Amino acid sequence: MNVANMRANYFILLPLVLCAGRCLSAHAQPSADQLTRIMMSQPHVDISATVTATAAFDPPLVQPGEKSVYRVTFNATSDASSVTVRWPEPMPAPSPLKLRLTAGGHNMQLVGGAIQMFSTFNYDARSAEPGTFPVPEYTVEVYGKPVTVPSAQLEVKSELPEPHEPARQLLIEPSKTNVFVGEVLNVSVLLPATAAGAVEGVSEVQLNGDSFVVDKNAARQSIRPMEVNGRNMLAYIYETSVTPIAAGKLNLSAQGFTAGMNFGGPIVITAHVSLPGGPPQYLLIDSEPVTINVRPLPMGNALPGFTGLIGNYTCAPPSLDTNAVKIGEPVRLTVIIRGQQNLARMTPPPPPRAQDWQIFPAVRGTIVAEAGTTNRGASFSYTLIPLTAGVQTTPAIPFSCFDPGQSNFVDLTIPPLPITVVADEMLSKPDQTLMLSESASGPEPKSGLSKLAQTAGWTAGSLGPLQLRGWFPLVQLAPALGFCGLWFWDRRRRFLEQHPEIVRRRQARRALRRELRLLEQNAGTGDAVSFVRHAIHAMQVASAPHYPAAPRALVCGDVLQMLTAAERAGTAGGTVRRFFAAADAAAFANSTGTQTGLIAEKSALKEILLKLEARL
Amino acid sequence: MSFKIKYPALMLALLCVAQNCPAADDARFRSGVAAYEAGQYEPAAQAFRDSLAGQAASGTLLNLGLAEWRRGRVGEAVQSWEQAAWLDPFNPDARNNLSFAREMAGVNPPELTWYEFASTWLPADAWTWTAGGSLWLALGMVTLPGIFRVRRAGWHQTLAALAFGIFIFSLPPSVGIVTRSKIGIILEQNTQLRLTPTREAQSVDSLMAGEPSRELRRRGDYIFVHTQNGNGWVERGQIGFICRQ
Repeated sequence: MNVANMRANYFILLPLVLCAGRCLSAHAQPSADQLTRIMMSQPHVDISATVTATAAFDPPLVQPGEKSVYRVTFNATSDASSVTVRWPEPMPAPSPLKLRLTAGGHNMQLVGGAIQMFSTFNYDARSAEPGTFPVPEYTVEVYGKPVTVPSAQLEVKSELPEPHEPARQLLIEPSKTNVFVGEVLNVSVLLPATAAGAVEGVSEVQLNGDSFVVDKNAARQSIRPMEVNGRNMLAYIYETSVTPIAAGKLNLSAQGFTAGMNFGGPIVITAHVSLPGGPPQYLLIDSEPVTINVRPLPMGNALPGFTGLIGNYTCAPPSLDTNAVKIGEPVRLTVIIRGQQNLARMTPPPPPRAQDWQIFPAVRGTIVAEAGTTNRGASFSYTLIPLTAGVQTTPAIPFSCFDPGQSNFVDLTIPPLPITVVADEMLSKPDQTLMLSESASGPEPKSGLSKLAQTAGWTAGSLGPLQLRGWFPLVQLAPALGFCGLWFWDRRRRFLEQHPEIVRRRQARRALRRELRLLEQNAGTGDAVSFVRHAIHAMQVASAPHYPAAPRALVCGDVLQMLTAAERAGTAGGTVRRFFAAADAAAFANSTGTQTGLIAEKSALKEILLKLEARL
Repeated sequence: MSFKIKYPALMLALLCVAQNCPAADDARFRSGVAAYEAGQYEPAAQAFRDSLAGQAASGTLLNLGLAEWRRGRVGEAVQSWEQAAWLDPFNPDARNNLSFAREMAGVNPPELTWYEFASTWLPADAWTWTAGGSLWLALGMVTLPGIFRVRRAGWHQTLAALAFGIFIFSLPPSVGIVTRSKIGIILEQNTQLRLTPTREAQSVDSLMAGEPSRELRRRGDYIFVHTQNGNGWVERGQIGFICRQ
């Protein structure tokens, strides 16, 4: 096909495709005209009508202490908590008549071809004493505008003419009144037949009570004979299930509108019934509250894997898609939990964390039932991926429920199943079939616990890290201090090697102090010869570092050079000369007589030595 | 001081010494083993715990873990085996028991960083001594020949380089030891992981016994921990640390 032909085909095909698209879309959803027609065919909602109120006692004639319903109805929507309807406080009821708000509801009624919304409020009206009790006309605020509620009157008489029709009200019958938090209980709301034997349906049924969750999907209705207050009579029955979500003594009541034979859904009738004809009379009726004792779950005894499941359940043996997989291959584990209640709302246990497996959260399946039985169960499946070879079983998945019958938790743990996980080699189909044909109940995993240690083993004073113990930095400081000391010592040594005179002077001072001590001793003992010898040596030691020279090589003149000119010419010089002269005489002339008197010059000598020491 | 006062004081001191002496620890260890073998796991656990009061020992910790496991206390068992492995990482029994217990309890081992994983190769104290010793050896080999005026030899420098290499190598595990000391084990089943450190706090998650967690900070009786399920507060008594602090 050449390029020209392709262009021609393209321009022919494009409008066709566009037309087909428009036709398909027109079939898929209604056009705007159709929607408008459907909307226009519906009766319109009248919200422009003037709000009016009606009030009446039902029944208007009762005995002392008997219940009558004071019913106020507005042709307007309102909130039961009277947000938009402001009631007078207190209600203008004459004493001893007592009014107590028990129910409030809304419904829509077809009036004159238009739908109007009505709000009705029921008050429990009782008087302990006979009399006539008019509730005067009063004004309430609806949508911010004043609306007058007409007066109504209740007559209370001790003796009533027969027959006496009591106030119509609903009856509520819970299947249990002592339950655990989260336990599902069935509740029946009954409307007995009238004295004439007519049975009416109830619409807009509502269960009132704090901390209850109502399952409206489970609602069903029927008409059947029942025993009410010891009498067999027909009754309309609305059944549903509720779940308490808080512990304590909780009140549960019901309300609804009488709806004639308008049942609003399928109904099971199991008796000869007389249904009232004509348009229904929508009356708000309610029930006396019943008290449900709700106990908390003993969570201290909770077993692993508890997800809030309460009831009597069992875990059917789980199954695997295959019992031989390669690493990384997903395998599906299907579990069925059997029981009678709440199967659709069951929360599967979360996947456990296992070292050798990657486990995805459970996917809910259908509600299954065994053939020919009512044994139903909820199925769900996990996808497991083995991460290592050599795994022999799937991980156990902890699961449990609370059995209210036993008042205890029941272990429903999904047991491990034997499986073979291979690393690299490809499994052929026959191999898999062979493995699948093997018994599903493999050996239990043997206990991996070790035996007892027979010795205490390695010991330590503390398990805390060494770095965080107080003494450890000090231990590390010791080598550091040692290295610092060595470094300073080496520096000093090198310095003294470059300045030997410092060493010589230090040695001279030390020798001088030693000679001075000997001088003192010799002077004390009167040993003149030694005194002179040490005096000479002391002067030589103190003068030697200045030359430098060995101390014994110095003569009198060398010592005198260390004195100032004035000192040399003065007594100090003379003292030095006398000491050297006496020493020379003793050494060369063998005469010690001249030394004897020199001990007396000890103080002059010490003064000279101190001067020489100061010049070192 | 009179003899009457000295004698009780002396006896008290001797008693204190005897309580912590190795012979007393060994006797408690033996009694624990005997109780365990007789199937009396609670007295056995108490005896092993008393034996550990003087000093930590890997074998005693291993046995304590076994006794706690037999009593159904998974958290305490995992903590004891973790401590045994901390002291003696070459002990295969502690590792096998940990692996088995975690598989049975469905909990994961702690998530370790690479330097924490490296720190498990040697006993905890060994890394620190190795780091300290190798550092000073390297410094000594570099400086001491000069100070003592010994002619530098090739082996001096080789040893210094080797010691410095060991020091560098042992630094990350030494850090890992410190960070691993923040790892704790959840002791009680279904421990509430709380949003705030208060008794009335909202529960974020429920933790299983034996599950590892890492301490991030403390406030009062609560510890802010990081778990594999997220962060939150747990009560101080509900978590046992590998390093008793």
